[in-house]
Amino acid sequence: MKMVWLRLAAVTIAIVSVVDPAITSSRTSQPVVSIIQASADQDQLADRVSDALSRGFRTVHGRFDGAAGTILVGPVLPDESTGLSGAIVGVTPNATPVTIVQLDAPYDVPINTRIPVRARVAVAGEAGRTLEVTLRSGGTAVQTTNVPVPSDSAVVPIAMTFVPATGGVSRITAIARIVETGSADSASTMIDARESRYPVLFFDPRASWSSTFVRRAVESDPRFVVTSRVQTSRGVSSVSGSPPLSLRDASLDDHAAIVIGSPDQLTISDVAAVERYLRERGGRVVLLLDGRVSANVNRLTGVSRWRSTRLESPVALRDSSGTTPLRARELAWPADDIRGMSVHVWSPASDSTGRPVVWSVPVGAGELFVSGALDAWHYRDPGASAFEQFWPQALSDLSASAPPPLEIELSRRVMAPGQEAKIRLTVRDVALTTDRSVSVRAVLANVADSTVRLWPSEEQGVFEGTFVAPADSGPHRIVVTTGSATESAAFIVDAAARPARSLESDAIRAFASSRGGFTIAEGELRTLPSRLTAAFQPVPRVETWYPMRSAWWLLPFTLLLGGEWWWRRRRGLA
Amino acid sequence: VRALPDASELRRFFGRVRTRLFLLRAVEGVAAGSVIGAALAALGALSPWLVGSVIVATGIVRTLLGDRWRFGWWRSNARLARDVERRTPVGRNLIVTAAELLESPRESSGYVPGLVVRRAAAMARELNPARIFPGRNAAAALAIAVVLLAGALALPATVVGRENARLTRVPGLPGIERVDVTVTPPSYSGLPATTLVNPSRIETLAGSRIQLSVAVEGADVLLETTSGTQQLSASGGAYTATVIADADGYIALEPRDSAGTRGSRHLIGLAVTADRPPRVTLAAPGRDLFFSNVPATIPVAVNAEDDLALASLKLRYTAVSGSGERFTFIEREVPLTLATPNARNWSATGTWRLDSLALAPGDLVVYRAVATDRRPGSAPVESDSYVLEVVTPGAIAAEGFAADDERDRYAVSQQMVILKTERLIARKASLPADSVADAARLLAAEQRQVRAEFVFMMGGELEDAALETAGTTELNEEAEAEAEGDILAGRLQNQGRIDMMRAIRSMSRASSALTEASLDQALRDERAALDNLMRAFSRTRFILRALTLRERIDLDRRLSGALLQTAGLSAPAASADPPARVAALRRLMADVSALAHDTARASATRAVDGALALLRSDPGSDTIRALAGRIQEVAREVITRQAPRASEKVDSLVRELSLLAETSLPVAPMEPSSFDALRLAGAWRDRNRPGRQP
Repeated sequence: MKMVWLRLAAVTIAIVSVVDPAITSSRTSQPVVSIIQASADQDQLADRVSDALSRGFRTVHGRFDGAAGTILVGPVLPDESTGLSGAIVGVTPNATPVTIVQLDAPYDVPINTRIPVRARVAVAGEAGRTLEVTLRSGGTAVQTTNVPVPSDSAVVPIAMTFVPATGGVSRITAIARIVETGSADSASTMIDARESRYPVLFFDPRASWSSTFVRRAVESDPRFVVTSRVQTSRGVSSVSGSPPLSLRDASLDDHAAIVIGSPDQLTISDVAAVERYLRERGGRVVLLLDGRVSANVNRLTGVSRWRSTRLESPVALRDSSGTTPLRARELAWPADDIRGMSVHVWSPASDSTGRPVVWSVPVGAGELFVSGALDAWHYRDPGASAFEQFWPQALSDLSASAPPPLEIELSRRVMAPGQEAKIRLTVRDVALTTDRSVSVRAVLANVADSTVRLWPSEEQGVFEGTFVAPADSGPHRIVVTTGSATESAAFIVDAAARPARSLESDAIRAFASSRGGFTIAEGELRTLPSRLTAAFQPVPRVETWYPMRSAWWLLPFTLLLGGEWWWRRRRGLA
Repeated sequence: VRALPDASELRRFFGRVRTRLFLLRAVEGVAAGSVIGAALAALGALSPWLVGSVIVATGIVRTLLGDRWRFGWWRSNARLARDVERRTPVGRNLIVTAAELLESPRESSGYVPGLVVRRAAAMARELNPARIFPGRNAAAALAIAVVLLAGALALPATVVGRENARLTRVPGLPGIERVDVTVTPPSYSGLPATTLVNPSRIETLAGSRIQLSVAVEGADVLLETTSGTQQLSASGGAYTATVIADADGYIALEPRDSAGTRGSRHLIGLAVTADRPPRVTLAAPGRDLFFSNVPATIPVAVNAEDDLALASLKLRYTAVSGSGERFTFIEREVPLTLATPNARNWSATGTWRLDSLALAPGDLVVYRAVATDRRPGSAPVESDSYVLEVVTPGAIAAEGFAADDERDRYAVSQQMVILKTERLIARKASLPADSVADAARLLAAEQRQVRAEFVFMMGGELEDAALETAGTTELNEEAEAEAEGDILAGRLQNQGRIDMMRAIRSMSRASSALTEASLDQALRDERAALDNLMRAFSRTRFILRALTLRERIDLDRRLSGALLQTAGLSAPAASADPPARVAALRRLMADVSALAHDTARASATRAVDGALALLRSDPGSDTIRALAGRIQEVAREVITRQAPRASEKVDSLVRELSLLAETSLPVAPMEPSSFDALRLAGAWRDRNRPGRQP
């Protein structure tokens, strides 16, 4: 009887296999999650995220466009976050007691200046203690600032100054420390102190006291190299250096800024040439009014009506800092508002308004700077005004903002060896004119086979590319050459140096929430799987299962038939 | 006791003994004090006044404590008797017994005590305290002590300065081993010479002679000061030189070997203090005097002080008599009795006999005190001048010589402007802004009116621009040279004119502030004007319309000239060099920073050379002299590896250098706007510019 059952079972398997039944079911699969870390120092946090998701998720380090979702690890948005799709979740590291979140200094500066260094330090849970910020360069502490921490969650702004001892590239490191506890953070940046000077041209169609005394103030400043042409009479000029013969001369573009005295003497062709200089060179032009304003000047300034006054005594003119940069008795200012006008110095009026006496407007990529303090040169004595400081500083700011022939922007200036950075090059003459033919070449100086490929971007005159930091630590330069111009930008390679840790918590939160995600802190990692599961909304899939399509059925089929045969032999039936 | 016969005689004897012993102990105390004082004076630790105090104190202590150092030793006759018996064999203890009987009345009755006292008194009659207690030793000790003290005080006071750190020398290279400096102030100062060893800084009086003796391992030594460079002369195994300290600066010593190889420099900062002129005040009468009846005499008192030593103090007067175009001037002095408690503070009193001047109504006497110090060639310094005028009742001071008779009115007018401004400020809150501005402008007009009166009084020649731009202390050198005669005569010592100029300028500022309705600023300027006015009228007793220094327009600053002169004018492009001080500071920052991680000799030498370059650029700065000294010390410690916290010291130095450099440098512009931002701004304006297409 038993033998029958064995045989029936084997036959049943054979029959069912022939029938090949199908079973349909609904189930969920393990989602794939990509983990992108903001920087190399977030390795540990990225690993912890991966461990937390080891059950229920499949994780991929790095960007994976096929992933169900992406986890951004770190305090800032990673470069790879652009164009991500799917759910985004941010994981930010725990707040540290002290974090330098910003360290700014101008990268390229004239050497004969003191360089402002601005830092912002985020301090958590240290209210009432003292924050000490030390600026170090070349292993030496050059400045130390102590400030009290106002609250338990504060971002303390720190303003410092750095004087480079030598020209060239200097790495400056800010070290922030809570004095009583020793909690500290550091960040580095760099400056490139250059011996170059701002080329400034003084052009007076007629001898002008105002221009003369501004020129004298600027000539004694080592930040400038000053050329001048003063047309004292028809066909008679006194010059310094090699100034252009007229404003229509092409060599005008060699100057970052032009100061024009007696602008009422400008002819219509002069005005056209100045406007070309402003728009196609992006240059800076200073008009020192000293009396009547001509229609040609109005064409340049866009001012249709002027107002003027001659006061009984000189008045103190004010600037945004509340100081008195100039004094004047005779003033001229636009009667109507000018759109885009920036007022630098004004005269307080009796109705508590300010008359814009020194102001500027953009003209193309250039800037027109107009002074209506007609007789300010009378009151240039250091005891009366800051005339001697105002004009060099104004011209320094103007010259520094004038675009150079080649403008190089690097996405990073302090890099680790092998780190990738982006370069963006703007060729001024191509960007501002219709000339489109230019060839550019970029290389890393003193690094073999280091040509950096630059690709034209959608904007005219703009080229972009990427490069990898050399393995050698120290200052490096990327040198860009076009047909007639060469420019370089410095950067520092140092494995130990790192820039300020920007805190982009809000940006990460907004970025994640806009894509259906959320942000959690490092301390909440244990809740990540459950929240991630909810956030990803896993879609159940219908699966059809064919249970008999397995080779393993051969084993029970064979055993059943073998057993039945063995039993029969033992009984002597076979 | 009174019953005992001869007791009073015995007591008188003890009294004489007591007096003798008091005298001897006092002499001994003074002698001991003199010896102590002599020792202290020789070491230069005490002034003569303090030495005298030590002597007196020692004498008193010795007298009061006696031989056994017990206070009150003189009260016990028995103790005095024992001292007497110890020094004479005749007593046989009888005097002691008698003294004890005298001190114990209960045991003194009876025959025997009386006999004892009588015999003791008989013995006392034979004894002479001066012989029992001879004063020879005490006198000799006192004489010796006095000689010692006199010798110590008479010795030239030489103060030996602290020996600074040993100078470090690098083997194989020329180096300075020791620098001995003797600073001898000018003889008139009376200050002692000072000896310094390896100093990094010398502070001395102007005109001092600095003698340098340099022990050096090398062939010669170069000495550099602000005046130039000189080679030191070899003398007795050392190199010597003499420098006259005339201004702040430095002394740099540089050793060299025969091959011309330079060794490490040694820098010495030199801070020179000028001898200030004396200050003299006329204490009495100290005011203008107007008499209709001239008294025969008036008392006078003068005070003067100087930082070192005064040389003379006089009261001079100028009597002016006459009228019209004929005036007679007589210059004389008032005899004074000087009181000179010390060299720096003198006072003098006297009686001025006016009757000898035979003053008549209308005559005028100008009087002032004059003092000089001991500096050779120093100009006499005068006090404020006052007038003594003989007037008829109701008359005023003579026109042209007296202070402006309306000066009070001017001051009152200025005070009135201040008062009105204060009232306006008080009412400001309750007035509309326009009304305040209008009232302020009216006040400005009043202020200008007051100012105009003063300008007229000063000669009426001062242009507004000149007033605004010229510094009050800046003098035209040419005009100053023309007025040299006046300066030498001391007529320009008076500061009244400058105060008047300051007052006028403060009035100008006040007027401007009132025009801008800046009342608080105006009030400050008005008060400054009033202060200057008060000073001017207190110092200068004469506001003459004819100024010794004529204000003129500087034609060079006006850039006047002929047009033809400009034809073809050509100059190279202006490219100013950075200030030498900044360049030196920047270089020094790099050199000092290198000391933190480079202990080689070359880095230390560079740092010291950099410090010298900085000293050359600004030798008058006390800050830089001190900094250079510290840099030299740190460099020395670094190369000898004796700097336990070298990096901290270097950091501190670099921070200070950086701060110094910052003050002379303009701020670098922050990172300019991007190219895109510039184009965007221009495009936006072009788009919004009426009637204009980009």
